[in-house]
Amino acid sequence: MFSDPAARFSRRRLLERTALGFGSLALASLLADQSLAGDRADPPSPMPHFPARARRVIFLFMKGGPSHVDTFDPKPQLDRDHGKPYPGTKPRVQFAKTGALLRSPWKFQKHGESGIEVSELFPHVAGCVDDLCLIHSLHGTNPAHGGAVLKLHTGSDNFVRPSLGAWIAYGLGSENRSLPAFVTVCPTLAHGGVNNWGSAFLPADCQGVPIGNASVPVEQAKVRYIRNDHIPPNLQRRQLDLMAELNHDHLGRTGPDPDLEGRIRSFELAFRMQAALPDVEDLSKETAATRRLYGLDDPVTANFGRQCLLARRFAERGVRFVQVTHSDGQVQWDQHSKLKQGHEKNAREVDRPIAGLLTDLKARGLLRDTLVLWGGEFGRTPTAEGTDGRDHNPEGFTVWLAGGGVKGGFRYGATDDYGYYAVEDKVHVHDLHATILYLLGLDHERLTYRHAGRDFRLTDVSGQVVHNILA
Amino acid sequence: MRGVQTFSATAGLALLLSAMVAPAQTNVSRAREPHWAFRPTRPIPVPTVRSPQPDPHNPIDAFIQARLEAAGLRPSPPADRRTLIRRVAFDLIGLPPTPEEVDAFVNDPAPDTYERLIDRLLASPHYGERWGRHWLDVARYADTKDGVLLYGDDRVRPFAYTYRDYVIRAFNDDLPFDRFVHEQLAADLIEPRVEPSRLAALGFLTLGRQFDGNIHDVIDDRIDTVTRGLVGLTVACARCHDHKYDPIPTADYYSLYGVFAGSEEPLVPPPLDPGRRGPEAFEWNYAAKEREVRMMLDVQYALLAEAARARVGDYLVHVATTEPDPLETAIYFLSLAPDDLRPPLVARWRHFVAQRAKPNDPVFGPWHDLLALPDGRIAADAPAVLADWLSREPGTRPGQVNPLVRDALAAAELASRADVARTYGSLLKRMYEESKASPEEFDGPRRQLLDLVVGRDSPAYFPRSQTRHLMSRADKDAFGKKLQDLDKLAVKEPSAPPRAMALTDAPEPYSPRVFVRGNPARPGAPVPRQFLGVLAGERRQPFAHGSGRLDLAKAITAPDNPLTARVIVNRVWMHHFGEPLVETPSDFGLRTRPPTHPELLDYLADWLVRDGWSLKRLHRLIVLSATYRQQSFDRPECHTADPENRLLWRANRRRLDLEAMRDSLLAISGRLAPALYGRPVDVANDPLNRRRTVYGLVDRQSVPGLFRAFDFACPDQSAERRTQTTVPQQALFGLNAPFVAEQARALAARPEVAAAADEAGRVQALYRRVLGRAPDADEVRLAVAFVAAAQSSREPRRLEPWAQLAQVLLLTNELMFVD
Repeated sequence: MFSDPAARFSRRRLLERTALGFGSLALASLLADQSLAGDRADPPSPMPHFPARARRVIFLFMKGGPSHVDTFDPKPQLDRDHGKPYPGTKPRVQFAKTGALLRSPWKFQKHGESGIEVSELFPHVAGCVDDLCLIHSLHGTNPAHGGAVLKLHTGSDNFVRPSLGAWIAYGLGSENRSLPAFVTVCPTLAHGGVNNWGSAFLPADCQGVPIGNASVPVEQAKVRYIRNDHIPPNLQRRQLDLMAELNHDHLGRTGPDPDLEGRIRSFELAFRMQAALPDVEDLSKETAATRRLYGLDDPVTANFGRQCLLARRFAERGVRFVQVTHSDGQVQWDQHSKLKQGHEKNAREVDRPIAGLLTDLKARGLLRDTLVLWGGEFGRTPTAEGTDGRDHNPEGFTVWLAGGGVKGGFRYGATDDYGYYAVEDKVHVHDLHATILYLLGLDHERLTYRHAGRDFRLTDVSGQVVHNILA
Repeated sequence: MRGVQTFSATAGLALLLSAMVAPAQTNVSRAREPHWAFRPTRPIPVPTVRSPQPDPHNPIDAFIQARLEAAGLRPSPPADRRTLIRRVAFDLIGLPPTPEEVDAFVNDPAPDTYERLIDRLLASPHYGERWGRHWLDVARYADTKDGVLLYGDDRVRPFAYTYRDYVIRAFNDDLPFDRFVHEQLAADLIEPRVEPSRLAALGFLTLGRQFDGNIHDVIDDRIDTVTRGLVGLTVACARCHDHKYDPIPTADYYSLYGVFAGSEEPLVPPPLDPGRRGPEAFEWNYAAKEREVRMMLDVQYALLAEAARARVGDYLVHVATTEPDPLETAIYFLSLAPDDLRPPLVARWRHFVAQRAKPNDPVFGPWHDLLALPDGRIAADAPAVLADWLSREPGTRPGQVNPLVRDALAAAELASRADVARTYGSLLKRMYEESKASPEEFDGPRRQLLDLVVGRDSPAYFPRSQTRHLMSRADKDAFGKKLQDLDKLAVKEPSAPPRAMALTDAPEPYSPRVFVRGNPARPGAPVPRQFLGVLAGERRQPFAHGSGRLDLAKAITAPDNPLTARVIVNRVWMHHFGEPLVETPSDFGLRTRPPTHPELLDYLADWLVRDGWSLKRLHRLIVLSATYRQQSFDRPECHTADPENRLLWRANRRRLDLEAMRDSLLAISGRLAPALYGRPVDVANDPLNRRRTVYGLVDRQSVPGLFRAFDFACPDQSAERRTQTTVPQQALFGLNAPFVAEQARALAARPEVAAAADEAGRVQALYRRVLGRAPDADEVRLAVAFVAAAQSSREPRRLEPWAQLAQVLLLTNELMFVD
């Protein structure tokens, strides 16, 4: 098939270069692979910048803004002062008007050796609390979903900027030659939409590959054009073989050319991805115990359970950044009213799957170098909206990390007595981003890309690594 | 058109003269001397080369060969005709030549056959579709708005396409580039008046993102598109601080800010063809909705203007008792209750009082002195402060005291800052109420006070066009919904007459101030509306006409602006050769690499201007050069010396971009719809759509996966060039997309394929159609064997063997790359 000496020579040289890529840095994804073929600007400084504590990220995104004072940030004072006005000053910009303090309808209990309190909304996650690193003092700047979601995903609440996953894909590539570096399962199409997994000005191969979207049950979610509906696989294989032969003949006539060779390989990669992706998505080979662990046996938890199980399967195959989104077609965690019903429904859907994921990752030894991030775009006000709801609150809220390089059973930062503002060891969204990159071995000040006359980075001109949470 | 030609000829002459009397180096300010891009263009002598070949007449070849000779390299021989027609057809019209066209060109012995081919391609309406699309990348064109809550029809701008069509027409008509710039920036201001259809040009400014209504960001986007797009400078970097590298002070950013802040979009876009009407019911509904919109605006303007004046006291108390809040001007999506003070007006009052509260001011002098007291001391110390003012001469001039202010303060009990502000507020409000009863009795001190409320400079004044920003949340939502409804009517009616996404000058020009650190809440020094200092030089004059948009357009295309011509020449060059002369086509600043061929760039820039800014003639000059016509084969000895081919010792092999890829598949299968122009269609998801890709709906909020996979330029900001990536999603599209299967089926079913005498004949017909050549014996054998094997398979299939083969050919590198 590769009869032409010139083509063969160039192919061999290419394989050598590719092999080098595999051997040295983690650049050897099918994507970074392309950069070795010469059509992508390599990152400006050698990466990783320092030893990585995590090799990949799973981001469990709770869209709409889960209430921190009802989940992971207990506030006894709020309980005591229920019905009284909030004694401090409310933020200048609020999404809606809120009234008096509203106590949490849920009880908190100490769990694990760390004795960290978790509300009864998350009984299963509470069982993993000794693996969690809770950041209670996260704060953002934007009180509206659109801006806040974009801020969390891209570091900018208004401009179109590469997303966190795209920066990581840019910096590290994928570890798997048949799968992309960045996969997002059932992402929401609203509130930033594609920009939340887009690559903006970064090369297109850094963008997240969406699998379905938030309005589709994950069982039906597929990568676009991943399946051929026209001919069976063996006929398609023959097509590919013929194409490869014609392309190599052509290559022989033109002389070595990395662009031509890159495209030849991309068809083989696509063919592998065609096989690899359905294989990742095929959960039938998981044991009954595993399926139960993720809650696949219960219709309430089955959908998010599948997403979490998929996340593990992508992570163990070397995908760098896997995001799963908990959202229906609406704004799932956005309880401006009926907090009790809404949060109970939402928590029930995710609690067992998340605990299952953490347990499973740990049992497989993956939690050591997988960083799990849980959170929404903001928290909610300790004051009541209407009688039984809470408004958006970007002033102070909780996210948690687990695994890859962070302290377990650890709480960092604090909000005020009522949970309105982050007051102690404040962590801005930019700081969170800087810390995640740091854990992956990337320096957020050196992971830059030249565009429109200047160097851009995920953290813009801000960001401090939160060293105190590092294990 | 003739006017423009004359203008350019004169400009050329002036250039020539200036170059003769004063060498450029001595005639420019020191700041612009060192950097190549800021030097004036001038006629450059064509270098002489030792062995001009193969064609000594084209100046481009002389420049290129001079550099090659210096490097000890020789150009490549000319490409064969089959390669050449394919290359030039993709370049100029974005479509492959038909087999018949290839044959005709290959077999035509006439010496001018290539020239005639060029002329035919340049005259094709497909030329505008190809080159218009290149421009749309620069113009960050999209058919939709951005906005996190916009879905479905809500997000579509029903008339965005009129700008896209304007651009395609402008290229097809070879509208001189300087005129093209004028129309895109100021079609509404050009004299003599242009026909209404040309107002669509203004989409260049208006089709950007809306940034949730944040006007500062909208203006920033316009400044960025205009400066990077037209003059290759990253002026938007100077929004918060002076440009880090380039001589662009923040003041210059705000000079341009003033131009766009003094321009506004009409409430309802004007019709392109006032005579044309849509279906009766649509017209009736549209007119009714338009009346509703205008009426609501009238009512709201009256209400809000009245409230702004009547509540002068509340504003003053707020200003006197609170600290400035950056959100007063920074946030545009605030939810305002009907009774809330309007943050933009608060900011204006703050600024106004800060300017006027000076020790000598007859009105705000006492305010200044009283508010200088610590809050706890006002009750005790106010009498002493007032005593000083009571002794001053009454009057309205600096140093005097307005007697009405004096009396009001004397009569008031002043125990706090709020008391002082309330006293002023009551007085001003009384003046305002009395003026309603008897406006004519106002003079002297009373007039002075009344003007603070009703004058054009009063902080309570706002232009009608800003009404929307001041509405309460409920009213703003209702108003927005009415406008949205209006748009939706047009989106839903396929024959809605086209309208222009126009721009007009505000009733009054905007007087810009620098926003300190980019913060609109911190207005600093006033600046005139004027052009960039680095380009206008010492002769810079403030813009004198309205918003200044036409002045800006003229400054951009002025013969002594060295950048505009260089930037467009570089873009055109890039699309012909795959690589630009300046590798950052939208940034010619100090930190960018100099051109590979500086003299050539200058020669062409100067040539373009003197030739009357015709892009078609520029194309012709370029594609007729021997440099352009070279082979693309690798030559190891040259490769070693110049691996990136920066010296152009060969032609660059290029992959088809998204549009050329999809359009070629349609053209080859014979299904390409010939229609030009019109409302956007769904090319990304509809496998049966046959329109050219340029007519596909560009959804900014959710750029289709197909577009993103094939490196489509992000439509959120002006794109200087597309990245080129090879990702498996592209291959998945080729292998599995129903669109590709459709084309493969249609191709296999073409009469010359299906009706061929035998299998070899079918293969030959397919090769001819797809690759424009005959297959060799091996290729025939391979193809026949492939089909036979596919036919012997008993598995169910929805694509027949010959279509399977057709699909393979449609995906080959030989088709997808242009040599």
